[in-house]
Amino acid sequence: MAWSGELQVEYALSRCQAFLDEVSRLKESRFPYEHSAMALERMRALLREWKRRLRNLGPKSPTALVYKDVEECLGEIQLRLPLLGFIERSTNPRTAFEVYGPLLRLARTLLDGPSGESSDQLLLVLSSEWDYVPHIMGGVAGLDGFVFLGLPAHEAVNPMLTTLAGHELGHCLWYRRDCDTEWELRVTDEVAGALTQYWSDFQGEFREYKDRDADAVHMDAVVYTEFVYPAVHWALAQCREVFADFVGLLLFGRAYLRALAYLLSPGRKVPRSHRYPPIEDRAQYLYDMATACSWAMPHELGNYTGLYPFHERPLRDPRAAFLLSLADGARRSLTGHLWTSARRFVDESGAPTPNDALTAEARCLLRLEVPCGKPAGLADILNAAWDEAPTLSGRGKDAGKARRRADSLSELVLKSCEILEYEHRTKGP
Amino acid sequence: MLKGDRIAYRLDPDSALAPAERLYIRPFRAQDIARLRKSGAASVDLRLGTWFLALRRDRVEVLRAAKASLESHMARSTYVPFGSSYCLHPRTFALGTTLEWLRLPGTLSAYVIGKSSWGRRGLIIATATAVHPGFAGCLTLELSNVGETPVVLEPGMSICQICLHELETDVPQAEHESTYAGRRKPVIGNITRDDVAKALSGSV
Repeated sequence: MAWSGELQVEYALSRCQAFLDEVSRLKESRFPYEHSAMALERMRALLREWKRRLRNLGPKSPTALVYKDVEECLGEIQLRLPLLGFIERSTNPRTAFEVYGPLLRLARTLLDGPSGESSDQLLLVLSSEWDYVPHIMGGVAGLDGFVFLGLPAHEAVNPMLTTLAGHELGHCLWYRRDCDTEWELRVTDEVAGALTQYWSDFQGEFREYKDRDADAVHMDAVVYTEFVYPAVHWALAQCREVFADFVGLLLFGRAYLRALAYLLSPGRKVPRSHRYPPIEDRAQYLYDMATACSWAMPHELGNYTGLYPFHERPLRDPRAAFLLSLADGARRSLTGHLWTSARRFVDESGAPTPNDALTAEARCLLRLEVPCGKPAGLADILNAAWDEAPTLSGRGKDAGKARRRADSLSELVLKSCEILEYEHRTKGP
Repeated sequence: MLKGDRIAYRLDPDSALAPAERLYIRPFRAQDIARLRKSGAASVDLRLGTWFLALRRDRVEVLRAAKASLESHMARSTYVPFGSSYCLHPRTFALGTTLEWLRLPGTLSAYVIGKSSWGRRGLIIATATAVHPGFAGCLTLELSNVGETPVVLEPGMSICQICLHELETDVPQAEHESTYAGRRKPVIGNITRDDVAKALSGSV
C-alpha cells in the first residue's frame, strides 16, 4: 500500500531529474566564459542533494516532513529555472562579450583589493534578459560569489550600459563588508529619533496610541516591532541602494549617471517602492556628490525634474505612508555618511576610477574611429563614448548617418575593451 | 609599396604626422613598432580575431546575387575568447576577422595576403583583399581549409599580413565609407547588381 505523500515524492523526484537533465544538456553549450558552466555545476550539486533527500523519504518518514521536503524541492526548482534560461542566453552572440574580462577584473579589484587574492573570488555571468530594465543579481542562495549581469535583450550588445553593473558591484561590496550590521544601528537610531520627534503625527495616524507618550518608542516592544522595525527595514534597503549608486558613480563617473538616465528617464508612473528611494532623489544625490567633488558633469543630468518627470504614485495607506516617510527621512539624513563610506571602500580597494584627461584622449581617438587602450581604463573609455554619443543624434535625412556612427561607436568601445584584455594578457611578468 | 621603416613612421604616435594622417593598427605595441622599423619587411603581420561567421548550410539552399538575405538568416556568429579555439574542418569555409582594428589615412591603401606557413598547411586566408584609403575597422578574412586535416584556429595567432601602398593623391573623406567599415565582426555584405548587370539579366 502506498504511503502518505509517496506520489508527491515520485513526482518531485521526476521533476528534479528533468531539471538535472536540462542542466546536463545546457552544460554542452558553447559558453564563452567558464563561469556560466560553473554556475550550472553549482545548481546541479544543489539539486542532486535534494534528490538524495527525497530518496531517503519512506513509509516511516513523518508525513509533515515528506510534504515539507517536496514543497521545498519544488520551490528550489521554481527559483532556479529562470536562472537556467539566463545562463543559456549567456551564449547569445548579441552579448557585449568583450566587456567581460575588464569588468571581471574591476569587480575583483573592488571586492578583493589590488592583489585580487581571495578565497571566494567573484564569478561573473554576462547574459541578457527579456526585461525592460537590466537584470542584475548577486547573493543568490546557493550561488554565493556569483554576480549575474543581464542587459535587456535588445540592447545587450550596447557596452555603454555596462556601467550599471557598478550598482550591483556596490551591493556586493556592501555585503562583503558586512555593512548591514553597522548601518542597521545607525538607521534604527535615526528612525527611533524621528518617531519621537513626530510623535504627535504618529498619534494622528495611529489613534490607538493617542494616550501614550513618546517614551513608548524606546520602551514598548510592540511599537518597535510594528512601527520602528518596518521603517528600519525599508530605510536600510534604501541606504543599500544609495550606497550601490555611489559605488557606481565612483567607478564609472558621469557614464553611470548617463546610463541611469538612458534607462529610467522619463520612466513610468508606478507605485512608490518601500525599498528604493524615488529615482529623482537618487539622481540628485549622484549629481550633488559629483559636483561637490568638482567632477565634470553634463548640465542636463542636474535637471532631475526634467529627466524624471513622472513622480511615483504615493502609497494609498496613510499609515504605511507615514512609516515610509520615517524611512525616507533616515535615508536622507545618512546620505552624506553613505557617500563617505562608499568613497573610502573604493579608495582602499585601489579600483581604477575615471580620469578626465584620459577620457579626453580616448574621445579624440574614438572621433578618429580608432579604438583606445591603455593608459585609458574601462571607465575612461565608457565616459569618452557617452561624451561622444550626444553628438550622434540625428533626425530626418541625417538619421541614417547618425545611426551608422552610433553603431560604429559601439563597435569601437567593444574593440577597446578587447584591447584592454589583450594588453592585460600580454603585459608580461 | 611601403617598407617596414616607413610603415613604422606612419604608426609612430611621436611622429610629426597629424593624428588624421597617421596609420592606426590597434592593438599594436611599442615594441612591435620598433621591431617593424628594424625588420626590413614590407608588410605587417596581423593576428586572428575573436569572431567567426559560418554559413548555415541547413538554411541556405543557394546563394544568388539577385537575392539579398539577412546575415543572421544565412550565417551563424560565434565568439571565441582568448584562450579558446575554433576548429575548421577540411573543405569547410568560415569568415573571421583580424584582431587588429585598422584605420588607414586618405593617403594609403593596402592588400591583405595570407601567410605561406598557413597556406602550406591547407589554410587559405584571403585572396588579395583590397583595403581602401580611409578604411576603419577589422578586416574580414575568408578562411578555407583546403587541406586534409582539421585546423585549430586560436584568436591571437598570426594569420595574415598587409602590404601598404601610398597613393599619389589623397582621397577625400566622403569616399572612405564602405559597407565593411566600422565593424569588429566579420561581415558577409551584399552583392549588388549594377544597371549593366540588371540589363543583361533580363529576357530578350
